Amino acid sequence: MTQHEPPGGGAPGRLLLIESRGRGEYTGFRRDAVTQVLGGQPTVLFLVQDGVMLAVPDSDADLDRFQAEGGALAVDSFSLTQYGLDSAKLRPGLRVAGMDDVADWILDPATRVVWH
Amino acid sequence: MGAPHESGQVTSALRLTQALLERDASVQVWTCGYATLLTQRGQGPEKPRNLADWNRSYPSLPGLVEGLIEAFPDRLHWYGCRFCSDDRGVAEHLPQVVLRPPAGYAANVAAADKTILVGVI
Repeated sequence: MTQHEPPGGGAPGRLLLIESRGRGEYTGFRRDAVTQVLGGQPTVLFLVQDGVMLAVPDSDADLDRFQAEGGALAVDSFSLTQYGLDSAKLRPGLRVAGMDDVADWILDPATRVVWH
Repeated sequence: MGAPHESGQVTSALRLTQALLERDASVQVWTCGYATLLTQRGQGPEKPRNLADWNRSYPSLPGLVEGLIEAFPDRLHWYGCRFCSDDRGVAEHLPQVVLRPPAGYAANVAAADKTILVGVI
């Protein structure tokens, strides 16, 4: 895996979902992420802004299932610092990334992007 | 889309825009609703002085946008919805901003390889 390749590999038809909402808010998007993974769609879920509150363990059952079913979870390093979570214990298997990584993923022609 | 100060959304959008431009991508930004205030010229290039940090200069949002446009003049194109802008009394935008009618959004989307919709109008 190259430095800027999204977690989960470079499979064609990859879906990049960006979650900016936090705990208790608008859970439909995260449930949709689970549905995508269950359907065999390679999916990366990137947590930014309020979404970084879900980067800690036991914070969201939908994300627990997303990871368990093979979804790739990443979190924004800048947002972690803004929310005072840069030293917090994070979910196992979570990749800390930045907007440079997100830009690389977006510029991959095989990636579709949805921002929530 | 959406009010600029409602959340960290504008910061995220500007960070991503800069990252894309630094990778030689061409980026169109379209603002709707209260996001059209991002490029309101009357705000000036700097924020009001910070009483807790009197000698430090903080760029305003229009200042940040103008700096980004000047850094990438051939690949960053900034558009605003004319109807939303007029409806919210934005008298004058940065000179680099192109105002278009709401239907112009469809043309901009058609011209783009990818469109990312951020926020709710």
